[in-house]
Amino acid sequence: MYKKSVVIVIALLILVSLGGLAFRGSGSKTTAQVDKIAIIYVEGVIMGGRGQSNVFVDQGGTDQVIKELHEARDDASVKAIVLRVNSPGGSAAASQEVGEEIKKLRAKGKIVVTSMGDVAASGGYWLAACTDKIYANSTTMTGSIGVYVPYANWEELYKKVGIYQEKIKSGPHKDILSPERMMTNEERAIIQVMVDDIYNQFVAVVSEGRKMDEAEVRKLADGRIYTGNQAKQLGLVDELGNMYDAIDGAAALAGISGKPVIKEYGKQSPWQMLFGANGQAGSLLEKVILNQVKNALNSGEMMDMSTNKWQVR
Amino acid sequence: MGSLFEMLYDVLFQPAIGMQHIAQRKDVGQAVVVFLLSILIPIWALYFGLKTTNMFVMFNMMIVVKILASIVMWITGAAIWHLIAEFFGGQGTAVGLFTALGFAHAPRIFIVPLWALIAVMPANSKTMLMTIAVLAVLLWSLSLDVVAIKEVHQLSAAKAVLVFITPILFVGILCIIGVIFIGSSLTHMPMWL
Repeated sequence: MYKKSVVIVIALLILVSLGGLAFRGSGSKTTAQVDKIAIIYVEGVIMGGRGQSNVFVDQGGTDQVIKELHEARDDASVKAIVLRVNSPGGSAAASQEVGEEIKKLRAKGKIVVTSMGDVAASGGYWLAACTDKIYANSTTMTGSIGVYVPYANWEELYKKVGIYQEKIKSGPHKDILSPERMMTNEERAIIQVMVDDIYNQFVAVVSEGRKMDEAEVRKLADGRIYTGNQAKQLGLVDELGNMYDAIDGAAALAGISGKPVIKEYGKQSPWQMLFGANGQAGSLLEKVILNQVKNALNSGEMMDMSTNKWQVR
Repeated sequence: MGSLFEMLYDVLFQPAIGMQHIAQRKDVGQAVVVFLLSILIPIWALYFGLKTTNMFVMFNMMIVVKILASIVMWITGAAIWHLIAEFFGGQGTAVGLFTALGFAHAPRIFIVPLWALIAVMPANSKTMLMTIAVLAVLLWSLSLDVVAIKEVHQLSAAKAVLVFITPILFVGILCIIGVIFIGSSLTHMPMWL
């Protein structure tokens, strides 16, 4: 009877402790209610889709970035977002999609600040131009405001190898940009019009975002890259500083006093790390291209090949 | 139910007698109940603790990992220690040891009142107190594992400790060998700045 009583007392003590912890958990102001700064990472080539991330490759699709922007928008405790950009650019459509999402986020009253890493060029700069303030390191590679369409003509090689491809087309331009034949002047003109159209959209985004005259943007937007230092002098960047300077800047703009609470997005669970964000392995081609991108970034050179035809570069 | 209460009391406060009774009765059902309570009650407390932090999103994963790891450790621990105990001349049964090791998880429920107590302590001492509390409960639980091996297999205290630490030593040696091999292969790699 004595033993039973002792165990019952212990059980009651545990129940009371659990009750106390529950009360304390619900009574105190949780970190979920504290004003926060979200950090969203845009890394690698900007491409539409879900991307993949596992132990072998880490390739971000913009669907994930947009999802994170949505989560930050819906989280009332997130007052500002720092967009950490480390990207040489990528698809025009994907850049535009993320850029528009950033604009919606700002329309909801959230502050969005860009922190540029090693490189935030072209499509990376498109995103930055959509934010409230841009921070870059003085040696960051940025700019590259322009558009190009990669095209390779392998006609002679195919002839040497003995490959003759025929196509039954519904229209004369259905196989435009095909590598096995020379592009016609008419097709070149079609592509040029499209490139110009996207370029004009890009210039308009920079002009609106940076509050610069369109003619002034066009002077800078000849496709060249700038260092962070040069970009600051030209008005393409607001401040020189690292990610923590950008966090402090975002906190100041959002009116957060004291040391800001950080909420990082994009962390992968071990399951996702092992099996990829979309649960399927990427194609070999994508892996090869990703390696080329990584090599280009490591050597400081710009990439001249991509899975997408339309490159904002 | 009364016998479960008495068994729990014995395990917590006179473990040698408690483990002897458990080894004789081999009531696996009661061991499973004690094991689950010992795992789930601290997890429940952890839920209240993590609810106020950014780590709450990981809670579901932590529950699954904690429960699965505990079950795997319980089963494999019983199997491995039983085998080693037999090598050392142990007389007990695997089921008896499995049951006793299940009861050895019981001290873990004391982390809950300790956690509640520490929650009202000054903020600057919380981390240290929590570390001490976790270590104390862990040592209590591990010492019950040794008592379980000793009483179930009727070994001396020294042999029981040896049985207990043999798998740990084995894993440790494997790790050291692994580190030596990896270290020697790394020394042949070119260095980058």
